[in-house]
Amino acid sequence: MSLLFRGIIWFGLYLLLVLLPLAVALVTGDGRTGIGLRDYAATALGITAFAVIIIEFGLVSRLHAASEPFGTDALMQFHRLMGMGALLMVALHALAYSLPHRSLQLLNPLDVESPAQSGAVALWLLAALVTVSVYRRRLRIPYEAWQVTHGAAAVTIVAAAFWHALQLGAFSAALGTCVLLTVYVAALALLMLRYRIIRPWLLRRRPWEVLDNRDEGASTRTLVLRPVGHRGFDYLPGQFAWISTARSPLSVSQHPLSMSSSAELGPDRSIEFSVKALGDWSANKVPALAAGDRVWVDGPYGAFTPDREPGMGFVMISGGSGIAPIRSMLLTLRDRADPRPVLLVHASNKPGRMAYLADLGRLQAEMNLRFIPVFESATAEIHCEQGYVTKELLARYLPTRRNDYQYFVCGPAAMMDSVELALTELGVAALRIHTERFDMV
Amino acid sequence: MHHVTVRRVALSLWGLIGLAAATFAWIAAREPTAPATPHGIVIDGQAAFRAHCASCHECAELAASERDVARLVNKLASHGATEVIEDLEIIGYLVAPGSCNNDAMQGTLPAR
Ligand SMILES: Cc1cc2nc3c(=O)[nH]c(=O)nc-3n(C[C@H](O)[C@H](O)[C@H](O)COP(=O)(O)OP(=O)(O)OC[C@H]3O[C@@H](n4cnc5c(N)ncnc54)[C@H](O)[C@@H]3O)c2cc1C
Repeated sequence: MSLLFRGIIWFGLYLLLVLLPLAVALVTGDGRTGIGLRDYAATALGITAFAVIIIEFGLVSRLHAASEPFGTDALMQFHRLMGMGALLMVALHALAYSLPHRSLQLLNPLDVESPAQSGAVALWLLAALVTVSVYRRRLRIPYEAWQVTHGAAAVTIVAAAFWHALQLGAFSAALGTCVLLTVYVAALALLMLRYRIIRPWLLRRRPWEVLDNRDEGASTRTLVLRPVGHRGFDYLPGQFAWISTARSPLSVSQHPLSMSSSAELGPDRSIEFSVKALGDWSANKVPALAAGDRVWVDGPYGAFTPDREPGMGFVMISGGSGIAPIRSMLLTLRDRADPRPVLLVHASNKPGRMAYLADLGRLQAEMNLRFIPVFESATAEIHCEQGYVTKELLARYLPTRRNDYQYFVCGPAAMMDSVELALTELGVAALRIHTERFDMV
Repeated sequence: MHHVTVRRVALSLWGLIGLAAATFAWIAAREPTAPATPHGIVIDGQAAFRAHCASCHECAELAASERDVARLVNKLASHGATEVIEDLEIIGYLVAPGSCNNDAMQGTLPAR
């Protein structure tokens, strides 16, 4: 199924789930109290925002059905944008009810007398959740602290908004809408149960152990993991898994890492991950892992893979730790003796900071690969490009029949933004550009 | 997928949701439950109460604590966005015996 066709189906399904409560409210609601156009529109925004917020959970709860069609990267970005949209809708809903009465009392979440208190709680919590997510790095909030509070705040928002709808809504409290909203909330509860309890619980019976933990230089380690007492899993090159080094898979501390080894697994079905030291976990916990240590692996996830994208060849553009999924793609194409041409443009600040530099050079002899290393600063001994991955640089190397190729981009956010833009300016169709962003928030 | 594509998809969804909300409002408002003047003023006491007061106040709460008509008049004049004719209709409705029972049976609160 083509990406466009998949897109249309999912777009329609999303719209249906978001607008269904509104349609049901209109048919079954007895809320026509002559309150006027503005208030009816506010009602509609409130009901729709509720549905959008519930579906937000589905987008980030590791449902393959949700992430496979477009990839985790696109899904996360969509989640962020729709979260902001929900905030806008809830704010308009609240203001439409408050301003005509020239009273902001309805917006006060601390006013226990206010009949709309639970709605005000949901509004302000949603505003805080969106703001903190957008500015997390600037506010210097650690990822894990953010992750836990984000989840707790989101559940509280749903509970407060649900109570508000049942308590105050003539439309939403009408039987039909009420039943439908309850079904949405129940689906969310099941999703959370599956995501937080059932799936980690099942992982307990599928432990993995560290086989090797190699220092590759450039602050990067190759972690080799082997399934213990089970067959592990098959994956497509470029996909990722959630790794937990905690004692129990039920721990919230799980880190996404791309598989960096060939998807053509060997007899022991071991898998490699390439981990760049960034924060506490990757710089302290990962280097301390020793052979025989137990870890938990939940995967595979993601749609960043050449296996699903038919093309005459591939252009891979990466920076820093973005080489991990690209390495998996290259090794897989080599192991399959795939004759299609691959152009790899890989960037780092200097040669000593580029992991697998020598390996990538050697791979050129083993497959149809052209490797262009790009360094901000380099010495004369290495044949490379100097500077950044710019449009001009790409124009020099891209194949002439650009839209016969598939493009895979993975690296620091700023580099990805500029490369995506450069590729489209160079005439590459947007649907041929596939990305994976390592910084989810 | 290209991030510009995702942004376009999200923005068009926002637009469609806005359109759906407007359509919902238009359909819901086509069948007014109370007689309205050409200026949109609700001249039925119960409907005016529902439109202007019921989102924050229970009928019984106002009717029980503010039977004093003068205080009700002052409150309505200084609070909310009602026209004088609507204030009078609301007061007439609130002071009528059994009005809140009637209202409770039909559901006092407006749509959210
Ligand atoms: C799909 C995907 C694939 C990835 N593949 C690789 C890879 O192959 N190699 C690699 O080195 N890195 C990869 N990353 C990034 C990696 O997950 C983080 O670098 C790692 O979790 C850092 O954790 P930390 O505690 O050491 O650093 P921190 O300083 O805590 O985090 C650095 C950044 O990593 C991200 N991050 C941290 N913890 C998590 C988490 N639990 N879930 C999601 N994001 C988190 C946040 O954006 C954070 O700002 C990938 C990320 C994603 C989303």
